[in-house]
Amino acid sequence: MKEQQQQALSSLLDGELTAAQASGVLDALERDPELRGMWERYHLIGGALRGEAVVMAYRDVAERTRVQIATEPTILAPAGTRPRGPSRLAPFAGVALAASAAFLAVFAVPSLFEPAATPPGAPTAAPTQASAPAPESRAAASERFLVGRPVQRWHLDQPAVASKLDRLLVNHQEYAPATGINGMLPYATLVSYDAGR
Amino acid sequence: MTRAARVLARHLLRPALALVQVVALAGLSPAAAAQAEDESSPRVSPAAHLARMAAAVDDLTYEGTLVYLADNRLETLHIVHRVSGGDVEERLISLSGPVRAVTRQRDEVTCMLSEDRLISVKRKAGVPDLLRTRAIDPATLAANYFVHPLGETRVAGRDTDVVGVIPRDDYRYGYRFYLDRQTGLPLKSDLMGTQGDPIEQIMFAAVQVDPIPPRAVTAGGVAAAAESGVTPPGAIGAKSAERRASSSLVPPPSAWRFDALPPGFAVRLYDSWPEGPEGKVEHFLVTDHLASVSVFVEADGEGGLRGATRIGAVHAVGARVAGHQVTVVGQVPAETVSSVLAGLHHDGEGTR
Repeated sequence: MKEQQQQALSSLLDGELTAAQASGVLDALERDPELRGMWERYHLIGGALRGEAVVMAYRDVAERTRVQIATEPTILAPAGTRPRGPSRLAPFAGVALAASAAFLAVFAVPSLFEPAATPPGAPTAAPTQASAPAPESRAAASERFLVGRPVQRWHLDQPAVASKLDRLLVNHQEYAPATGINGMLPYATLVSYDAGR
Repeated sequence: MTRAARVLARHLLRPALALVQVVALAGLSPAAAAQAEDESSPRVSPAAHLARMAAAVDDLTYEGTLVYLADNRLETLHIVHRVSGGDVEERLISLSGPVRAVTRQRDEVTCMLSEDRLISVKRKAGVPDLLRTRAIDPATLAANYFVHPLGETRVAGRDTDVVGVIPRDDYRYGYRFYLDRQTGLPLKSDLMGTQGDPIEQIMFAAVQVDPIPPRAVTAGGVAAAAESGVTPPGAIGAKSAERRASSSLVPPPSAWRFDALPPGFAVRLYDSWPEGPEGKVEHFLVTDHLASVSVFVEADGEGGLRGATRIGAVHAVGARVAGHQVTVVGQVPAETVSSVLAGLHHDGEGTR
């Protein structure tokens, strides 16, 4: 089943589905976060292959919009002011479908994200009980557990030198002997140490 | 006991102890376990395993989820390796943390790191491709490594044979490859430090291999080919690898020379390119055919690395030598990059 969905997703990305088929896949995408993750990865891979940079700030625009829409009060507009009926909607079905696809292309993106500066569940205000640790020490303790803390790449506090070493390492790796999946290991190192901990 | 023997014992002792423990838990005597192993798996030499791995890595189309562990860091990555019409396309994308990706197509690799940092390197036409693939050739490696079977286990739900590539000294790391019995693909690779402990591990948590490999390679066929010296389909034999390697052993057209390199290492590739208004970068690849370091010499290299540093198991050292910025980087122990730097001299000025 999952394999069929993957195949359908891939076909959707390549524009190979009919409108009816695409509608089903879009419904599935809306329901299944795992599929959305897959959709996102396909786009990222495609973008990376085309050499397109991914602007991190853009990636959660759709999610923020979705949350905003969900939390905004509903505006009750007068009903029946527009003509209704399937025959009148038919010419716009294609446009709606394209809009859905475009929305999903963005909507599905933000499942991978930069961790927030303050992790969920972190205390926003320190308790004032006498037995509780001082606010400063609790903040310091939270800092130690913070996900996504910036790290000194190459153990250097000079970003320019670290970036230069990144470039030299990639250059080196392109000419170095490759040994199976170990051929990608230095890249895994590069990628891993770029994440921050 | 010689140094090499000590190194071998260090690397073999841990797996042997683990095997004894497993055997004891299973209620079998070691002899019975050995017999059971003989009966369950066909005899394939470690050399044949490596040849098969080299062919599988290049020829198979596979996709899966990788787990990478190093320095207490745990990452999940998605890898796609596709072979189509002889062209290899490889993508590595992070599944945890910020999105980072590496793509490799033909002679170009692009790394997309966080904060929109892009690194793209295109290999120049005419630069030898001798080290790109099929580098693990047991005959070539024999001077610096032992190749030894280390048993069998399961990875990603598949049976694997474990082969160790064990360094004879402390100038290079070792490897443990867990090779899929069905396809030869390495499903897990351990990079082994000089103390015999894994310092980086990368493993498939799940993998999907194209059911129809472009070139069918059987254990028996490769083993027979290895014994006879005939190159199996998709593999480069020892002689071929040696010929390709030695063809690059020409003195680089450079004023730089290496007086003393760590044992087994030699300069096997030289390249240079302009950088900046009047600058130039010279690149020397120093390798023992498996471990390698690159030496980058920049005429106009202000702001470069001074001293030693590392990222994971990759070490780097930099210094000013004869008015140039020299940076040595590679996935080797710290002592190796320092030795390579120490051996570099400039013919013209000869001073550091």
